[in-house]
Amino acid sequence: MRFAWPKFGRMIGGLYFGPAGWQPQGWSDAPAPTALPTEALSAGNAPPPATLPAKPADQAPQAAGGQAQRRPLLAELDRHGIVQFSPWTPALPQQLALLGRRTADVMVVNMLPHQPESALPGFLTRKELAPMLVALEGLALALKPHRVLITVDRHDHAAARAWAAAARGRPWKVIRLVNKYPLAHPRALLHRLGINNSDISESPATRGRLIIDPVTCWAIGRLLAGEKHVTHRPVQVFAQGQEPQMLLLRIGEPVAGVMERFGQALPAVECIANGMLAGKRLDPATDCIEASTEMLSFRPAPLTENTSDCIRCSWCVYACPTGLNPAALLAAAQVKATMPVVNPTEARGCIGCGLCSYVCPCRLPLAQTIVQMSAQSIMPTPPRSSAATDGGGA
Amino acid sequence: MSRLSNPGSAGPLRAVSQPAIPAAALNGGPPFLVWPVARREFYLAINIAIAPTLLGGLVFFGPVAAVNLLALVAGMLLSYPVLRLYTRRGRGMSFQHALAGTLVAGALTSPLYPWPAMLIVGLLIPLLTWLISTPGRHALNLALLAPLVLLALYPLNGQGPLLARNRLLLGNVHHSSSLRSYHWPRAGKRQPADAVTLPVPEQQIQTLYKSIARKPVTFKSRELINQSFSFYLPSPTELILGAVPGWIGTVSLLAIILGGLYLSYRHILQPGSWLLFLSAVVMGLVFGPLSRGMFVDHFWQSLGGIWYLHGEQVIVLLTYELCSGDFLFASVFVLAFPGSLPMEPNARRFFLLLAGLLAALTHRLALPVPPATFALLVLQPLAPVFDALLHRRSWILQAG
Repeated sequence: MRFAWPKFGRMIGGLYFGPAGWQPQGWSDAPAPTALPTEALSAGNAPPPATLPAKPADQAPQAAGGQAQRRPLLAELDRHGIVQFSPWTPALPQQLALLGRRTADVMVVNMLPHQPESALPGFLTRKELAPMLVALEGLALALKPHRVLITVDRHDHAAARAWAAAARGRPWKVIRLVNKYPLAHPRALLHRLGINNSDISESPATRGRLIIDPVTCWAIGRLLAGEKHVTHRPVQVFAQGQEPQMLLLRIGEPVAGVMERFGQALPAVECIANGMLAGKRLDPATDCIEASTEMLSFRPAPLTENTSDCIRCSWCVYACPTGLNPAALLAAAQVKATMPVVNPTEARGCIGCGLCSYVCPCRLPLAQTIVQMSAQSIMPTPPRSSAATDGGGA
Repeated sequence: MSRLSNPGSAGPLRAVSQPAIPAAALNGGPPFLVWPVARREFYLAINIAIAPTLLGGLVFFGPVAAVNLLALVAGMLLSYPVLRLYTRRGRGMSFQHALAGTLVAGALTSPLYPWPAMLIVGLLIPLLTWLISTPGRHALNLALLAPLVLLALYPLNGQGPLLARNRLLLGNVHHSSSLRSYHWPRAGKRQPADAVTLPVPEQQIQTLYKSIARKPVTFKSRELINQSFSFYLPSPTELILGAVPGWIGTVSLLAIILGGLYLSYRHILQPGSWLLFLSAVVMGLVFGPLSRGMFVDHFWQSLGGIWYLHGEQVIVLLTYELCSGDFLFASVFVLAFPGSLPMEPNARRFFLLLAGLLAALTHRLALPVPPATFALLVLQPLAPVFDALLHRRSWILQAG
C-alpha cells in the first residue's frame, strides 16, 4: 500500500504544521558581506544607534507622521538596496511610496515563518535582534505609526520571549500567533489581526497598513550599523541527506554555484526556491539568488504522476484560507459545466498559498490556474500621484 | 510504480511525484509537494473502512451473505475491465471507486436476494456509472441506487432478513438453546430454506408506534412498549456487536463506528457533517409523524408529542430507531463518498439538514428502501444547485 499516514498535528483545512524542527546554530559557509562590522555583530554587541539622515533645517518635525524624515529615509532605503526581501510582502520603499503623506495606521512586523519549515524569523531573532530593534526604532521614529504590532510564532518560545522582552518599555505590542500556514501572507495576517478592510486590488499601504518582514528589518539594521549596501541575505538551504543550513548568500549569486557547493549534481537535482508550497522552480543555468529568495530546496528530479478529473471531495474548499471554492474556479477557467460556474473574478481572492493543489487527491493544477486567473482579474493600483511626484513620499 | 509509469489518459497537465519522498509533487508550478493521498488512496480508504461492516454481516449471516457479496463483486469485475479498457469514456474510471460503490451497494442488500440477482447488480453498477456520468466525472453515485431499486422490487413485507442456520463463526442456530427466545423461532416457524426469518428492530418499532399512536394516553401503550423490550427488541449489546438482523452491512454498530472513526482520521468523513445529518434525523424522528397513518390523519401526533407519558422509554425507542436500519451506515459511508454533498459549507449544512429530515420521513412512511441512503441519493443531483444558491463569498473579496 502506497498511502502514507498523516502525521499528528498536520490537518487539512486548519493546517497547522507546528514549529520548525531544527534550530540552525549560526551562519555557515557564508562569505562576510562587504563593509560589515562582523566583530560587533558576532559578539552580540548592539550596533551604533540609529543614524537617520538629518532632517532638513527648514522643516520642523511634524506630529502627524514625521513627514520631514520620510523623504530622505525613502531615498536612503532605495539607495542602499532595501528591496523586496519576501515573496509575499511588498518592498518597504514601495509601501512607503503608497503611504504618501499620511500617517501609518499600523506597522506590522511579521515575524511568522513564511513556509512551514522555515526557521528564518526565529534565527534572526536569536542572532540579529539588536540591529532589528534599531531598525524598528528608526522606522517608528520616521513614520510615527499609531500602532506597532509584532507578530511572532507562538510555538517558537525563545523568539516570542525575546520579542516580548524587547517590547517592554516601548509602545509596541507583541502578538503570539499559531503558525498556521499561510498566515504569514499579508492579507491573511491582517485579517487575522482584525485590521483588513481593504480592497483586494489595492495594497494595504494605501490604507496606512505597513507590513515589514524580518529580513527587511534585519537589512535596515545592518544599513544603520554602517553597511554601505545590502549585498547579501540569509537563505535557508535544504538538501536531501544533509542537515538544513542557514547561509548568507550574495544577491545575484548563480544558483548553480550554490548547488555545486552542496554537492548537488546537475541536472539530476532540481532547485526550488521559497518553499515547496508557494515557491518556484529555478533553472540553475540562468537563475540567480534574488533579494526575495528565502529558501532553497534541492531534491532529485521527480517522476510523473497522472491527474484525474475532480471528484468533488471538497478538500480544496476546506483547505483554502480565504474561503474560495478552487474546484469551482477551475471549472470556470476550463469552461466546463460540471458544477455551477462561479464568477471568475473571484479568483482575485487567491493569495497563491498552494494549499488547494497540495491537498487535491486528483492532482489538479488548482493553484497555478487560479493564480493566473487572479493575475488577469486584478488591475494593479497605480501609486498615488502626490506621492509619486513628491520624490518618494514625504 | 506501475501506476506512476503508466501515462494514463488524464487531463492536459501531468503531475510529478518523487517515490523517495513520502509525498508526491506537482510539476509545472507550485506546489511541489502534495498530500500523499491520491484519488486511488481516497477510495481505498473507504473500502478499508467498510470492510469491518461487511465482515460483521458475514459473521452474522453466514455463507449465504458471503455468496451474495462474491456474486456482486464478480459482476463488477466482469463489467469494469471491459468499460475501462475498451471505451473512451471508461478510461477515467477508477477501480477503487467502482469497488467502493459495489461494496456500499452490497452492504445495503439482504441475504434474501438470490445470487444471480446480485451478479446482475454487480454488472450494472459500473455500467450505470459509465452511462450517466460524463467522461471522468463520476460524481453521481449510481452504484448506490441499484440496491435501492432491488429492494423496491423485492419488498420485505415484514418477512425480515435471513438468519442463517449455520452462521460463519457462531454455529448452528438449532443448538443455541441458551439464546433469547425472540431470536430463534422454533420448529413451526422455520423456513424451507436453510434459515429463519425475523422482523428487524425498526420494523418492530414501527408496528409498536402504529399500536400506541392510536391510543397514546392509555396504560396500554406502556404495556406494549414493555412487551417490545422483553420479546421483540434486541439488547443494546447485541445491537452494538452485530447480532441483530438487518441488511448485510448494517448489523454491526461497532463496525460502522470503527469505519467512521477511520474515515474521520483520514479526513474523508467530516465529523461535523456526520453530526449535523444525524441531528436532523433525530429531529425528524422526534417531531415527525409516527407512521403513515398518523401522517394522513394526525399529522402532529409525533414521538415528541407522547414524550410526557413515556419519557425514558421514548429515548430508548429513539435510540433503537437510530441504531438499527441504515441511518448510521449512510451517515458514515454515503456521506464519505465524494460527490455526495455540496462543496460550499453553507450549502452542505442546508443539504444535510434537509437530507436528515427527508430520511426520517422516509423511514416513518415505511418505504421499502433504506431511508437515509435513499434521502441522500435523491438529493445528491441537487448538490450543485445548493452550491449555486448558497455560494459563500470569500472574506478577502469584501471591499472596505
